[in-house]
Amino acid sequence: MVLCFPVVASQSLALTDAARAAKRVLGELGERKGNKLFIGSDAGSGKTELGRILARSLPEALALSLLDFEYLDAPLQATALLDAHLGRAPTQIDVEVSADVAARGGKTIIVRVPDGWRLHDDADGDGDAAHRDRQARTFFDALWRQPDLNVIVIGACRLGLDRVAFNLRGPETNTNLLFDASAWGQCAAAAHELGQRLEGTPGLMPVPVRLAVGARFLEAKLDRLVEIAREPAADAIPELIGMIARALEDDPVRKRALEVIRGLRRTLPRGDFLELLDCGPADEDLFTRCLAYGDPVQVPEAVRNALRNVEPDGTPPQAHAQMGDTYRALDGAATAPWSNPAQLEAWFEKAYHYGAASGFRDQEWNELELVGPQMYWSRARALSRDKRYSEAATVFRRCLDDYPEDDYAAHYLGQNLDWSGQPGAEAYLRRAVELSKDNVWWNARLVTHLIEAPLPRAAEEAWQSALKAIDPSGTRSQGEAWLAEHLHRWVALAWLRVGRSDRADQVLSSIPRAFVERHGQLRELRHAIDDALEADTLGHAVYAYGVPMNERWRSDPRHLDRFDPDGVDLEVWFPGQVHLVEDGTVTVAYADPEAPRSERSLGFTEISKNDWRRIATGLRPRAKLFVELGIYANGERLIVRQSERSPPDFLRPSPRTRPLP
Amino acid sequence: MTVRSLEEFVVDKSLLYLFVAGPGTGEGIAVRLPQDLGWLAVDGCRAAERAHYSLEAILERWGGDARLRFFAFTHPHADHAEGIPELLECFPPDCVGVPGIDDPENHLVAEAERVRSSSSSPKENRVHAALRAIQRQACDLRILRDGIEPQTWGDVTMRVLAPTHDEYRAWEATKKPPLGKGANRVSAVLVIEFGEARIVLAGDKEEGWDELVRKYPEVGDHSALKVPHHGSRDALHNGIITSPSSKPSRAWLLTPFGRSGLPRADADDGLDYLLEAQSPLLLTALSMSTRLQTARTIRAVTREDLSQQRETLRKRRTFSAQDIVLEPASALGPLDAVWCVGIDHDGVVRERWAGDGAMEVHRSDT
Repeated sequence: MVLCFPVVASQSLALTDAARAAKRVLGELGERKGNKLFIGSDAGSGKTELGRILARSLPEALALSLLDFEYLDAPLQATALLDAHLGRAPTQIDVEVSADVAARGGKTIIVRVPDGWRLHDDADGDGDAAHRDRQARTFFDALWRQPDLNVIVIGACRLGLDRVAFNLRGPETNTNLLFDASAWGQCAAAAHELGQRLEGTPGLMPVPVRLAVGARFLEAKLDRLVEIAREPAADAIPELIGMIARALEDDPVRKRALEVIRGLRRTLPRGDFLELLDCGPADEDLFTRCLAYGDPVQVPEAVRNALRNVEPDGTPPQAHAQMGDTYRALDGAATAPWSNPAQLEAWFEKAYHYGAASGFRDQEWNELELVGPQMYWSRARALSRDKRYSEAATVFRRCLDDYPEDDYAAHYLGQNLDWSGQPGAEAYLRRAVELSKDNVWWNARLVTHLIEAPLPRAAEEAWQSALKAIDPSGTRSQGEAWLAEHLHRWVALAWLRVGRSDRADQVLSSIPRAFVERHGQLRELRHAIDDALEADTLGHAVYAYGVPMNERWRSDPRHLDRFDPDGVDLEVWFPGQVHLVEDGTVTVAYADPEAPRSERSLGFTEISKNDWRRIATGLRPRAKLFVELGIYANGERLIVRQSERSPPDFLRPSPRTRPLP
Repeated sequence: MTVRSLEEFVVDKSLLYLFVAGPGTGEGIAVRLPQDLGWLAVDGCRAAERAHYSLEAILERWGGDARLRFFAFTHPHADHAEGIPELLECFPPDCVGVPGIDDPENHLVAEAERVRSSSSSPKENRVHAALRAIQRQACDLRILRDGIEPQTWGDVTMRVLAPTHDEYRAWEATKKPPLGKGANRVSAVLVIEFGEARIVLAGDKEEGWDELVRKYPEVGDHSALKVPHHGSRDALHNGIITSPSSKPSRAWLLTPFGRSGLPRADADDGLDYLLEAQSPLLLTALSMSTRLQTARTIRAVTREDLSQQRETLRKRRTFSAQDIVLEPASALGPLDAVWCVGIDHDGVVRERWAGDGAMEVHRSDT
């Protein structure tokens, strides 16, 4: 038996049915080989505990605890740990081979899957999400395909398994523990107060209760905390994390501790954890019992996720450097220590954190002997996020040297070359498409790169190739809204940003109108294209951007009064835009709103500044100002401003360098 | 001189050919060098169908294997920037030139990069796209400024007469977005000489002609003139327009700019003034009406004809009686709004070729 789940030694706040569930699993497994069992579970329902019991009970068990789905190296690390458990030291990590070896060895693999794991079927997320999906599928498909291999998956997502063995019962909170001062240390008083208010409350979840104790320790209002703790965990956790983060934000030491917690992917012994946090004795229990728990200390996935939402910029490189140092002390190895899974896990964590410590442990990272492309990706992404595009490009180039078929590295090498203003981006963006012909994002970004280059003819050619590869029959564009969102939208937007409303229109018009209507950004883009097309066709804009297209070219003005103060009729009016302001005159371009579309013409009127002051009371003339020009039946003329909504920023040309999406 | 249809155009390798395209908004110029030495191109414009640009069409049809030797972008206005990305993509030039001064950071491409993020309209975005297309050319970026070393190709020399160093500095010092604001002040003026032949490509230069003519009085003595700034009255300097010519014949080519109603056909305005000195003028298209463009049967008109057509449009509902009224005019194909003249080594205009939408504008008494 090999145990890879953390043994979290602490009195448990969660009352789970893990022990009973384990018996049931063992019964389901029986003596047959090749079982594939999925045990559904919610947050806090005892996944870790169940895994631990199973790993102890099964003679040939290999237990794997996956990293959060967002980490690109999650499947790589899982495969490497599997190899280490199998006593292998592969030259190349390949889950197919690992699974085969495990099957031949009669193993049972127990996989604990964090709740965030999903197989999206392209229905959500960006290019990176799709890549994570692809990796996840590769990993699990390799396990599913081994006919003689027992696999037990414990998690929230089935990951391709049809049969659900059963679902773990949701946890209940052991509120008695809130009165046990030894379980809470300096937070004992806060826990006690919560205990008094929550005792006997059904349906409480352990993680929100822990966080509520922490928030109370930080002097949040008790009444409010009691309310929040009773809410569903998905609502309560982000709210409590927000309260805690706000309470700590002015204290640099505590803020840094929170950043470390956010970036920690695996468990750490309590002593190492506290040393890393360097938070002072007064806060130790806040961080080790409320935001995290156990020994080794474990940070719940939901807490990490909520912290990431509070501070989306990520853990600072310096904190990653220190985490890397901590794991270095644990792994004690320069090269991957295949013979010891625990050390190997620490080695991977060290590599990850040094990679993310952009600018702090560059030499240490460079000296590592990497074992998979994903280790390069993590490093390069950190550099790119830090706007060190040239260095990121160098890392992706190294990756591509080692893994020439890696479309991810090829694509992002191209992107980072582009962002750093270096030549050669196009070749790598094309290479990525060659390697993964129907990849929506690689295709979209190649086309948009060519549009922005600008190489319009090549862009057109690449667009046609993309459609042929992704949607040869044309049915996907008509039936899959996500494709419009991730492909057509970006291409149309790129055309619009280089002033080509006609081409943008062609692209967006090729998807069903219903998709556009349903999707806010597509709807805005449609409006922007129509607005630009109208101005291009007429030769000048006369309606402000914010005027909906279906409210243009109507007989009634939007701003001019139908009657003047003396009751005189408005006889004629025009929408227009100030074309030019010179020393003595203001030139306004305008159009007749009642002219049939085919007969629309553009008028230019020159108004002296004296006249302007008289007929456009209080309106300072400036170029691009949208106005309504009116003539009343008594010959009086009037100019009023059209209310304006500026075009959204996304329509502006891309800056020279851009952050990662 | 006989005007022949551009459809029938055949190359005489001994001649220097000047193609001027102007479908209603903006202009593009292509110069075919004699003896198959290649092409020069200046600015760009679009015809009705956006995917087809005049200069690209000219080079595709008559370019042969000859290279594009030089591309010049006279100034950052959208009407001169259309189709430049397509042209440079299909015909990568040996060199590109933009107005600027010698400092590597003081030229139009660098200026565009500085203000790029402030661009807020499709027209501005097209100018920026054109400048990025220029920037991405691997060839040398040359500064177009008075006093720079002339470029030569065989017997052909190209000189830059404007902008001056001071003109560019002054524009740059007051520069605020958008990029095109006041950019006619730095419009490049190019002179191409081949033996006795001299072609003046005056861009959209409106101001500063006094100084230019004083320094280069020979600009008035030319075989062909691309009239400055679409024939606006303010851009027409006596030193060019009324200066006596030593050439036995000359051609003045004129592109319209619909949005500003240029060239203006009223008495004492641009066309009137030009026609006093030279008739006929070679106007690439009627700018004011799609319907008039689509008629395509008008080969010769007078200023009065044009004036009357404008008056007809003015009868529509207007804010004031003197307003300029224009219909969107874009009914032309890429080779319709084009004039081409062939000039020999002695500076004599030997041939005139016209696209279907191009016309001669005559003085009414001729």
